[in-house]
Amino acid sequence: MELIRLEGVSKTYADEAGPVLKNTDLVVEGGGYLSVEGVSGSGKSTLLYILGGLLTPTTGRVLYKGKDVYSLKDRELSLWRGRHVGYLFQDIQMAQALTVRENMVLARRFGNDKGADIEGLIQSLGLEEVADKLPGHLSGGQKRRAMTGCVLVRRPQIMLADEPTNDLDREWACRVMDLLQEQIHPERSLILVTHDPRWAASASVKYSISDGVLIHKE
Amino acid sequence: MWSTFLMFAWKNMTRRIKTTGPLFLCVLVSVFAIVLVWSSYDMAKGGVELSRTRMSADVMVYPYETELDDASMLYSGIAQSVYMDADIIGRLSNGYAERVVSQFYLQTLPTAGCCTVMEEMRLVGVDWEEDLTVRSYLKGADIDTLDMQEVILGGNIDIETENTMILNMPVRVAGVLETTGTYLDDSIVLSMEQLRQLAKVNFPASYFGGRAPMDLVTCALVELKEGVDPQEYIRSVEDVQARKVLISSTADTVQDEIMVLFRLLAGTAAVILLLCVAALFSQMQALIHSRYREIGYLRSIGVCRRDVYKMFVLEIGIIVLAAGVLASAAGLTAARSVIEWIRQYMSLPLGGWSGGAILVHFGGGLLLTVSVSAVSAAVPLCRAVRMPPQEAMTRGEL
Ligand SMILES: Nc1ncnc2c1ncn2[C@@H]1O[C@H](COP(=O)(O)OP(=O)(O)OP(=O)(O)O)[C@@H](O)[C@H]1O
Ligand SMILES: [Mg+2]
Repeated sequence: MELIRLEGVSKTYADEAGPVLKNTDLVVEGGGYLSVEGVSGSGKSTLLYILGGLLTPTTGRVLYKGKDVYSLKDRELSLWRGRHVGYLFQDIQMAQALTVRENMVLARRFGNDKGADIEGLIQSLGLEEVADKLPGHLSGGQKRRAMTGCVLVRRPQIMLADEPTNDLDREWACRVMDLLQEQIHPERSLILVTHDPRWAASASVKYSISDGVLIHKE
Repeated sequence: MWSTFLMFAWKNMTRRIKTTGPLFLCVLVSVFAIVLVWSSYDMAKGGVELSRTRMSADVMVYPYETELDDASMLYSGIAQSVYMDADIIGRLSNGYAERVVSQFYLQTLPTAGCCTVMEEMRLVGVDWEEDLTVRSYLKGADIDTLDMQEVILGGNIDIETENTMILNMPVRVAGVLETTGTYLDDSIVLSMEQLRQLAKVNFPASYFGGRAPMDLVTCALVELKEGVDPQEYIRSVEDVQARKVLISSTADTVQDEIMVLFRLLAGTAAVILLLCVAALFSQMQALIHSRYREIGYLRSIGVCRRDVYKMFVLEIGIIVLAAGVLASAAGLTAARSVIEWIRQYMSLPLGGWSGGAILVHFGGGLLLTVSVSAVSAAVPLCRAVRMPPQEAMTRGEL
């Protein structure tokens, strides 16, 4: 079943000379596991932002189950993001005045599963000690895991993971990747942006971006 | 949903004291300054105007021996046992005068403590039918005549209306006066004849210098005929041995003095307000700018624009309203102290502090708070919320 599709999407930032993403087509099936590789600045994060309904493409359409996402009204688009898109940002993003647990409660409020088990997530991400701390008081790896918890708690259909193993030691990188891959399900898919060929290889469909052009590998 | 927003607003408010604190302070200081100057000015001006319009007398005449200046005699005159001969009234009534009425003041001394009214209190005897001052302050319907055992209470007098004795005489309360900010508030008014009789019975003759109270008055108030120049009248009664005071010019002098003082205060307040509003604008800008990333993040987890507005309006609203309420209340309270302070240096009738006036000044303070904050928050907030989430997230600083 097709979840999301890009049709002729390109993106040129206001202050950039040329397009960052060029005439891109992509189909993500339910249960799909995609990886995107590419050198720094090649447009990987831009691609994820567009897929996540967070950045309007300059041309082209983003279709979720056939509906043009960017033609939705703000309310519907927001609802869609909350229910269906889980974005693990490359930079840490969380509400800074809320503790880790409060951040998860806030995220769950807008997600797909209002009864999601926060305590279980805190445990499986090893956040018991820091759950009541503010994000600003966490180590880099703890922040990364806390942000992962805030995304998983919403049980999104489309997981957009932008370098999710950054800041993590080997062991935690494996545990977090396992958690992400466990989410894959006939209705849910994972799109992984990574520099690490090991994780890229674990995906069932592999892409690379070069000069704004998305290339299907193999 | 609102509880989520409220929780979010509250946590942000309390855990980001470094940005919310200065905002709170800016609102606090500016609203306080404005409410303080505004309400104390209104209080002072109201008092002068009230007594000016109500007082239909043009000239006040009182003994040279009275140790008070004109404004004090007019507004805050403390009772003094200094009297002049009642026959002065006849000499003051000449062709220029429409009518001349006299008043007789008497202090109930604690030593004459034979009355249920224990504190030292001023009794004012007036010729009710002819009265030019007291009657106009009467609350409610006018009273045609004031019977011998009837009294009118000043605005601050708080005694039982039944079974009250004054100088051994049972009295009936016939009416109450509005608060004027003058001596009247602490006075009990009764008919002059009755009061003189009470004085005779209850006070030793030496108190009146051996003269009979019936032949004495404390002051006389003269209403002039239409078009008569008060100065001319004063010249015409030159030979009367008493101090003559032009009421309107006294009121003018007081008002001028108040105006000078308040221009100074208003100038200071304007400078404070200007500085604070400028600070408020930059604080608001800083608060919202520092939250760009967060706004982008909120949008990414499914919060729509309108809900982001709600969250921020709640947060800013709580800070600003708390500061506004506090500042307005403090400003009003401080205004009273300012007036009291001013009254130490100059005679000032104090307008009654009615519930309506408090509400107006308090509400005005809040309105100022809300409008200034709304104006300062609107532009940066709109810009932040309208921004595409990706841009907000990459632009904002942590
Ligand atoms: N908001 C923006 N405004 C202007 N240019 C931008 C903006 N965001 C990204 N870019 C530019 O677009 C290009 C692609 O950026 P993008 O973040 O998509 O790269 P990336 O592949 O994710 O790189 P990295 O591996 O370093 O994260 C870069 O040249 C970057 O400078
Ligand atoms: Mg990137």
